[in-house]
Amino acid sequence: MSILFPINTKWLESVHKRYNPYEFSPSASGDRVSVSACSLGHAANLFGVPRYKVYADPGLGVELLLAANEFYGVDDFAHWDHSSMWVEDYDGRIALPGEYAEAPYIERHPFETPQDIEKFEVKDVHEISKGPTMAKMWKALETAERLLSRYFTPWSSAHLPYEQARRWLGSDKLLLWTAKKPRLIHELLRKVVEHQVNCIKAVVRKYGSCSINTGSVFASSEVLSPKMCREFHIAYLKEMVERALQAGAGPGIFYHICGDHSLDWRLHEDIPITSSTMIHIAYDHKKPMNLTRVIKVFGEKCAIAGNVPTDLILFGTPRQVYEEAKRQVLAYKHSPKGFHLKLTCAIPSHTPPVNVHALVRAVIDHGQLPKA
Amino acid sequence: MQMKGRVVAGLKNSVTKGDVDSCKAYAEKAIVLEIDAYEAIMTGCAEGMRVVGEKYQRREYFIPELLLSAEAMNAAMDILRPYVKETSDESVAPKVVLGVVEGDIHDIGKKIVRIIFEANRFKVFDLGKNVPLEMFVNKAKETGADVIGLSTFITTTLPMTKLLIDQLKKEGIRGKVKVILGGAAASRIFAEKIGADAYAEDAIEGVKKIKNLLKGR
Repeated sequence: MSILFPINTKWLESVHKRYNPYEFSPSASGDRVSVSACSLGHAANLFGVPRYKVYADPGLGVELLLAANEFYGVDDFAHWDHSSMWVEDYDGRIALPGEYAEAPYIERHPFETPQDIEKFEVKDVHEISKGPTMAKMWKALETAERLLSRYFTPWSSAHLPYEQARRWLGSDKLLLWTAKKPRLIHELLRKVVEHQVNCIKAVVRKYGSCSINTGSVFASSEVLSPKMCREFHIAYLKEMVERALQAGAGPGIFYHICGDHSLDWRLHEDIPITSSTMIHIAYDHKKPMNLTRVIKVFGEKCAIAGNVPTDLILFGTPRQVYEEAKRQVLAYKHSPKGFHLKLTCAIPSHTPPVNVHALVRAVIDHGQLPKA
Repeated sequence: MQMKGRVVAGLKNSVTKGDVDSCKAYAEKAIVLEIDAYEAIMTGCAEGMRVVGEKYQRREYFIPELLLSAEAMNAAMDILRPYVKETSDESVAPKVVLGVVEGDIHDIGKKIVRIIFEANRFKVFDLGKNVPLEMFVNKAKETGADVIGLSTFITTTLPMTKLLIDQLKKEGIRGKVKVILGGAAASRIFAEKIGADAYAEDAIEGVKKIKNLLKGR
């Protein structure tokens, strides 16, 4: 039996207006800037549940995340996924977080040798649907559908192809072979795209459609040159999203372009943008990206998300969080296709709840928009 | 003499280009010509890696190129190392215990730091990733380390760095070992706040900071 009381339907209604993956646009809500901040790990902490449980039991994860979002009054429902997805499907092994780890992590990557990459065959949609990762995704999606009813919007989890390649091969080999055996890495990335599209197709077959949530910290300016970024990251991301859209996914796309993108963020101008796309470019070197620059390039095409630093919400005072959130809301809220206040990355699980409250308060106090 | 210079320069260039085969060939040539192996490593391989580190810092090279150069350097070192004579210089090399704190499994940055530190003749004890605090403390005691280098990529594990400093104090060795922080989540301000001795944005800066910390030792 659930430990929680029923979700407040007024809150559901307001979130649906402000943050609907089928309409990331200020004109849809017309009242204020939307805001989100919660994560599975933080929700677990908030409710005093060990963190591994929200990953081991996706139904519980979705339930707690929704309840945490309602508790804070943020404008988001629940997306269950994590940064070690689709590893077990190819005989890799993941571990659940213990006392300190934030999320599941990879204990054994599926591939070790060039022959492993050459030989392996991508699982088809049917096999993916029956696999260990999708079994958890189904539980999460079914729970969300049950709890959200008519407000439910299905999601998929297909992170950036270069990031998924890291999960399968490990960072060292992926990066070394990117320079040493580029043809082999291209072969791997082609297979990754095939796999990711099949994962999205599985959700589309069951629900008719789904939003595309993709992101990663790995294909960033700290790791790859702009030339490599274009060749090994952007090209495959573009192909993956185009094929997912052709397969019936979308129009909701959320690009979480995490990490330092000081040298390559403009390359993302080439990625598909639908009528309902939101882009979040997190860092410029070690500082949060100045979103005025991002709005100039992407603001007429899609909604913009960002960009309160995660270390501020973890270590700052409520006043500091409030002031930074206020500054950003006032600076960015008139972005033509909408602005959504978020953190630079996932919220640390031990964040003081009062700091999330400060973030939301700043939006309520300063995020008002003119009536559409 | 000219030949020696050519071999050492060849080693340096091969490391810089990340050319494994050429590195091996020059290392073998150095042995045949009875060039001092330690000198070949220091003025050839390590010097090449220093150039690579600078290129990385200037963002002319990125991690794939850096790993390729490290592979080339290691190939040459495998050939040269058995011929290195014990030198007095080795005994004064800074001893650094290195690791990614518990809860964090991102270790590519730490690996880069190790490569650059070793190229600068630091004696590195690499504990890997997801390392419990007591392992840092025990290794520092066991090796008589001068420095503990902590890396954390994610914000959530930052508090672990403060816990380590507290633990070093409890064990009574804080005065003997310097603590330097790195990794995407760390910052100079945070390092100051928790009482670390230094923060380095990258491996090259780490080398400079450690040399500074240990000046006059």
